[in-house]
Amino acid sequence: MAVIEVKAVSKTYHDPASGRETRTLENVSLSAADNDFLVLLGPSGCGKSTLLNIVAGLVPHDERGGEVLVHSRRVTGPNPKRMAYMFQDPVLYPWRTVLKNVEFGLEAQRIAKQERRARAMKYLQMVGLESFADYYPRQLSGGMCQRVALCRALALETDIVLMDEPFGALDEQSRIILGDELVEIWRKVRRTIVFVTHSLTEAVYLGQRIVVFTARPGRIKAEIRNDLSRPRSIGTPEFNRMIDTLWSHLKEESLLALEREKSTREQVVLPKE
Amino acid sequence: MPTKHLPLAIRTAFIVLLVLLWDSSVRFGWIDSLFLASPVHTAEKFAATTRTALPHLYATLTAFTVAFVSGVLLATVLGFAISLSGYTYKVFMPLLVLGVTIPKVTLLPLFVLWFGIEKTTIIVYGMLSAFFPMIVNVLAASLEVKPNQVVLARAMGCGKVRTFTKVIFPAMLPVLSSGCFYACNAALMGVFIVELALSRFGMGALVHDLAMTFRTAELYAAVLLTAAITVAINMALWYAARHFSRWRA
Amino acid sequence: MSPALARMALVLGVLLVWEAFSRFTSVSPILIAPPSEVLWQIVRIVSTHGSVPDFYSNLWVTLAELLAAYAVTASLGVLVGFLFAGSKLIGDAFEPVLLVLYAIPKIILYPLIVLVLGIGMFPKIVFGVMVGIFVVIFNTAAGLRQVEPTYISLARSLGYGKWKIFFSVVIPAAAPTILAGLRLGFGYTILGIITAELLVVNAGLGFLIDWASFNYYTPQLYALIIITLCIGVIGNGLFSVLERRWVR
Repeated sequence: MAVIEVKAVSKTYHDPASGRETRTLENVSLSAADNDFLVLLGPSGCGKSTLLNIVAGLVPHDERGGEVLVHSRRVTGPNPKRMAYMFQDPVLYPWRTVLKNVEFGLEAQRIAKQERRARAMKYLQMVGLESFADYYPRQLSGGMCQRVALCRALALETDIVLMDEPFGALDEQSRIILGDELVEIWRKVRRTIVFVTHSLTEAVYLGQRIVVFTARPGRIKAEIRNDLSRPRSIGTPEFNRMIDTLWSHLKEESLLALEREKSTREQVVLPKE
Repeated sequence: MPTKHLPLAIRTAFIVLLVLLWDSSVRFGWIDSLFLASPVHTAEKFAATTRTALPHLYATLTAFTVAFVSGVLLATVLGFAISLSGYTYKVFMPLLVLGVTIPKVTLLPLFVLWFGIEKTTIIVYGMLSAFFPMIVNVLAASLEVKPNQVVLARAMGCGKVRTFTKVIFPAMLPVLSSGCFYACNAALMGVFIVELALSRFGMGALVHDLAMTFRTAELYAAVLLTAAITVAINMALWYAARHFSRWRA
Repeated sequence: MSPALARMALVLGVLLVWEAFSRFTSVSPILIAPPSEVLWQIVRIVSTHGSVPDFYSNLWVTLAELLAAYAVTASLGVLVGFLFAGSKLIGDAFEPVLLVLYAIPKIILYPLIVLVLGIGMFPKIVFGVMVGIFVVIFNTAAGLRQVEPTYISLARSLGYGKWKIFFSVVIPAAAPTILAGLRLGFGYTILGIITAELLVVNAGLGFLIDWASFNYYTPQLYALIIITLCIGVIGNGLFSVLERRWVR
């Protein structure tokens, strides 16, 4: 049974300043099953982040036709009881300690203090940051901050976790390590993960199902199942074969996106998500 | 002596030197003692002056508190209202900055004209002095809230009130508290200026009176007393502002 | 409507309300003078048609005090700022002293100053300096201290000598902050001079303002106040122009 269902969703942005309309998504349909690790892969500007925001309920999709269902219910707004969201930027509140940052979502749900603390510490332990509970974000490195953001998302204990290029700003080693941790956690607790990335390596390393987007307006180009056994090793022949398959779909879209960026002299300002 | 304590030592030596200089200039008649009271004399009169000063001090502090609190409250309310829209921010900010930079003391004769030689004048002027630095800081504080932080709160299911108390307000707090610091200084200055000008209420009146009657030692004592209290208030607010800013990089 | 236009509309609106209020309500003309009349008075005063006694000689007194006070504030302030930034020992020793002095509302010292220095231009100049100098010192020291160490390392690696680095790297890098301090210092110095003139009245614009308010010549009072405020605004404007030219 599909946990997330996206049916024929489109999204058009209206730029209030110039009056221009930009179609970022065109008739996208996909679904995610329970305990799926779905990767959304595409060139920059293809709307994959937009789709994630629509599923998260942060941004509405175009009205005509199309609907988004989570657990068979329409999405009308953010639902932190069902879906956790992780940004590319950790967005830790600098005035809160690590522990209080992780507890933030739980406070909004009025969960009792003791339970909040217990849950927060549990996930901090999972990523090895329990000794940093009373530190402030400015004392942590980028990778550690992103780990805290991960804890915050996981602590909500939702069925679904949506992640928008969460490891994008980190160095390669951190990405691999955090990727491993993420997969570990995913295997331990039944969560449906939807992961947005533009990195082929990350897609093959993490994803169970990979959806490739076209350049703007984003449409689904291909859906590929990744059955490589875990733990996966970068550089093995199977791994590289998978990357080649993805690249064969992605290459022309990436080139198209690049061309378009060079040719448009007027930069369309999309709301940053 | 370890170099860590050297600055403190120099400072103390400097102050001691100044006091000695002060004492000598009176003792050896370099300056007429009518204008300059000796440190010893000032110290003697200190206790007595403090006692006489108490009702005046009370008057000044009450006026200051009313002016400060009302100025800050008004500035906060209006500041929040203006910060809600980028447009209103752009329209009003230059005017408000102008309000801070013009020498408001020029308007004092007008205030006396309108409100007379009354306590009201002191409070209104003090309130105005506190208002402008505070509102400029409230508007600046609104820029401290990053859009991402608000979106995250939304994603976590926070309603408007919770987003305000848990995200917007804490982000603004450091700049708000430094605004309070500047407003406090401005209110103190404002209150003293009017008190000196009207010479009828508060410490300003006392100081004016002592100067006019050439009771130099008591004048020095009164000034020292006022200085001590204002420094204490200032330091308290400065440490508070620093405390609220400690999470900043 | 652009914000600037909206602002102008707002100001015009306020002026219109002010004009209507002062002309058509029963508020005493002693309290409020309509803007049109105030403007007329300004014209009369500036062209010395005898609206106020000896406008230009009084104006000159105030300007002279301002220039003298600011000259001292700027030069001494910057010098001390350099001293504090240059020598860690002196900075650590004396900056706390200055911070405490800054915390005292210097106005309370004014009767003392008058007592010791008498009435005349000198105490006002001294007071102006006292009020304005702190922000210049603090900003200068801060600006110099905040020069990126990488700028200096780069210059050294290129073989620049100590003095050359100072003039070609440190000063330009610190200039915006120092200039900001000088600008604020100007505002504070004006504040000090005018406060002094209003408290102990004997000459200058403060004297004229006092004269007007004492005799209830309200339109002249408003006019003089506006003229005085203009000095502050013009000074600020000058600094803006300087900033734009030197701080690219």
